[in-house]
Amino acid sequence: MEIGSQRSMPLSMSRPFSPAAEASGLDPRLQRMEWLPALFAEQPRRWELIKLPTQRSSHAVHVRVHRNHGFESTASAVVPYLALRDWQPEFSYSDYDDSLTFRIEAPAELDIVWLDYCRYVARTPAPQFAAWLRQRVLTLRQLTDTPIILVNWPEQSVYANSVREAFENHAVPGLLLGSLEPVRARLGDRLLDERMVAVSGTRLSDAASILIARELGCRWIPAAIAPRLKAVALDLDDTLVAGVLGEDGPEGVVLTPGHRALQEYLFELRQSGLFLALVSRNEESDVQRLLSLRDDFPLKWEHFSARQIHWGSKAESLEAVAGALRIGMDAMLYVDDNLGELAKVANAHRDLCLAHANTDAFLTRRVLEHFPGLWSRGDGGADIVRVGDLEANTERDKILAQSTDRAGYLRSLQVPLVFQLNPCAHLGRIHELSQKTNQFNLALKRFTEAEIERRLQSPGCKVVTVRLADRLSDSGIIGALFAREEAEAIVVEELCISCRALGRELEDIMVAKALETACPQRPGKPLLFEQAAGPRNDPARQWLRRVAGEVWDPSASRVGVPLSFMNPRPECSLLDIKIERTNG
Amino acid sequence: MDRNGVREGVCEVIGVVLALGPAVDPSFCREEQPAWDSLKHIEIIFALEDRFNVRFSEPDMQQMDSIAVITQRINELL
Repeated sequence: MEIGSQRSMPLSMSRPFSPAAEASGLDPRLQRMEWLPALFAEQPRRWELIKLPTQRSSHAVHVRVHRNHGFESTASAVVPYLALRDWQPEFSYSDYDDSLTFRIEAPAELDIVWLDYCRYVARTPAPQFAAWLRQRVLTLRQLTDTPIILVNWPEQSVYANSVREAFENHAVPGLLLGSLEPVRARLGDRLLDERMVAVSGTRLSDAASILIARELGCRWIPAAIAPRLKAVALDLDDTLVAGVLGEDGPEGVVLTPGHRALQEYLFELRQSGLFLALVSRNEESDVQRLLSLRDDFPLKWEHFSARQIHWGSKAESLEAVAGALRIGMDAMLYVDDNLGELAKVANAHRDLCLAHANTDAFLTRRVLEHFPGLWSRGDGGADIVRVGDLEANTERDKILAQSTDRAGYLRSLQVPLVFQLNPCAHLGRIHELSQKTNQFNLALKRFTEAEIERRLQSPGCKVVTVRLADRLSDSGIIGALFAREEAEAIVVEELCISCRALGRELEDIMVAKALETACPQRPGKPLLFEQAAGPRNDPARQWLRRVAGEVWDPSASRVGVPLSFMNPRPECSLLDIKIERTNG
Repeated sequence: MDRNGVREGVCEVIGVVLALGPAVDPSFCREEQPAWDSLKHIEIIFALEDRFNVRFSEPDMQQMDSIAVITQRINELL
């Protein structure tokens, strides 16, 4: 098989299988802890990556690569990075095609556009090239609903900038524009290696291929195909600090330059909307004293949204953390220097992500900078709101306990609810809700951005967002309803409400008002809600069961809800409700 | 590194890349191994450059089709 000649040829990039590793019965997540120094070296080396005994991972990710130069040397290095999340990429390739004709012959979860701009540079000025490329990506968008990653070739900055501006000014739904500028800045003259064209079909050097593979495997592909992780839970001793608090005391544990860098990065992650949690075998009072006494620590006690500090099992502590943060175990990464602890935790929680804290805390920082699923593309407004919103929940619980009746509770919270019809500007947030909500996600449709965009533009479909605030916090957009008016019924094809908004018992009002926003001229048509059973959406299904009454059938794909559900509710007078039907 | 050391290193690289284990026969050549395709050839070149800290020329890359040839070329470069 010669490079460049194959078309849509599924190709597994898996490395030598390690029978010994499998025979050992060791959890693959623990085997991969040994890989971290090689994967997250400042400049990972090909030979070190090749030696990793990668097993086939259980979740195949089919990726179509539309290209005009070789991708294989990058593809092979992507494999071990994606394996950290148990993903196995299966690449299929186009011919080398400068015109980007896009043949979609096999189903896939992701498309990558992989262009070396050098052949366009002599023929097309940068703005025209960028406009042409945007048109081609829009064509691909019409051919498929999958996420698209466009890797922005960095060699000529004027072309890279024009492309960035073209896509920033006119966003394409579901597109992630991957910048190679950091790779170019790091490698300088070593970005390209013209010797390689004859054998690899690309001018990229080996060092560049590996760094790009790390960006793809750790940041861009995870961000395109899966929700972002929501929390990092951390051990304390020899993880956040050098030393053991119980033995060295608060003044004795050391904040090495590496541990300072690690704590600073964790603080940045918190600022970007990720929860931090502390899981430590220590006396709680000692840890509290350490974090208040040490002015040199970037991380303080209050930066941890959940804390489990006692001598009990860490597996149970992590379960308590997930409960307190209202997230699933699969949305969390646990970091510990003790492999024995990691093994016990791995045994108890099959979905939890794990990372080993190295004695070189700079390496631990690089692991966190790259761990697949932690990176945010920088539009995480909703993530940022989440951290403050959770903290307000404690106060809400107090108010509820002190209130004598529900009306008093709602009055004291001063709740505005804003409903918006087809708010195109919130496409990203609607997509997040569809992908990330688990407990209150009624039909589990998991729409892509392109599918949502199509509904936003379709006259027959209505997408309504719900924005919630109270005097304690602004929760932002916490709900989305997707409705369709059919000849005989109004069909709710999906309903998602963030778990942060649950507990205030406003679901009925939110859904009824969202339906009113979607279909104000409802001529008494029946209401049908689509539903699907998943591992964690029982709260949504129980809600439907309650409002549907006796007709609820757990196995039905559509369930009727009585029209009385839409009757005016006295509680609405206690809320500040706004309905906005202008597209924006 | 002596000649034997280089040959053992080359066998190790080719064995790992082609998933044959480190004990590859020194008489091994590309022509007899379907697994040694153009994709694996790229990985072998990258891995050898990394492992031995050498830099092959374009003609080298095209001609490196057996353990004997590769070993000889690396010895010349070291």
